[in-house]
Amino acid sequence: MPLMTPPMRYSTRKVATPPTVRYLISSRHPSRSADRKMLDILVYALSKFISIPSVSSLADHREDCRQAAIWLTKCFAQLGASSKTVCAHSPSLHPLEIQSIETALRGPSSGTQPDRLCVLPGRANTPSETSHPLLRVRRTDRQMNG
Amino acid sequence: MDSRKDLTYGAHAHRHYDVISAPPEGWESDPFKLTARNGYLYARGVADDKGPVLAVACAAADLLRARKLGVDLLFLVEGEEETGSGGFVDAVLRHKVRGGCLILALHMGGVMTAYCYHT
Repeated sequence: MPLMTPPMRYSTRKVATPPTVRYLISSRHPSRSADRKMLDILVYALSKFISIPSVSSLADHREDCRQAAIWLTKCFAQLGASSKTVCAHSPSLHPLEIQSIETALRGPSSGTQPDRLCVLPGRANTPSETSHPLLRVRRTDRQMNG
Repeated sequence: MDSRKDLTYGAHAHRHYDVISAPPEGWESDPFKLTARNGYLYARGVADDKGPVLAVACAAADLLRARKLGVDLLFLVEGEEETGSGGFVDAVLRHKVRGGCLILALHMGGVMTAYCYHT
């Protein structure tokens, strides 16, 4: 399922439009259709992003945080960025033990010649390391930071 | 002047994808479901910082598509902003050690690079 392709039934007309963006989709704006399309993408992507409860202070949501990072990496890639998820060792996260994970998602190979936005279905997001070790987390019962 | 040939700097967006918890008190709708009400969007993180992350990314993508992204744009989106950014330095240092991408990004015009780190 493509990450960023709004379903056909999706329409921002059902969503009350914030005043701050009303001008963008008003008839006075010179490039109304293009901005409307990007606004659709933005709102749709935001609805998906929001649904991942990446609460960093709660140990129970550690996997959600990881999923949010992975989702956002794919989102950036589809927006045309060279995008990558990296893992960091954080002293504040002890006693979690992080091994390693790295998934590189390549955007357009030549950033100076972007001829289209990569939000179309079928775009290949190829991990550079297909056999990367999964994140190994050793949990304890202690909850992180409340 | 061809701005692409004279690029000497890039833009750096340091943002975060994590949010604080959302106890049910005070919420009129599910905090993890984007809800439109009275002309505004409501959800945990819609203003801090998931909304701005995607807004900047979409704006940059629009410029990229129109070939008007005159500077290199580097995103570093972290997942610990709400808990002290304990892994931030490690992520930056490790990224530099791995090399290549950051240097490349700073020397090419109109490149959008995003690093999302998690722990």
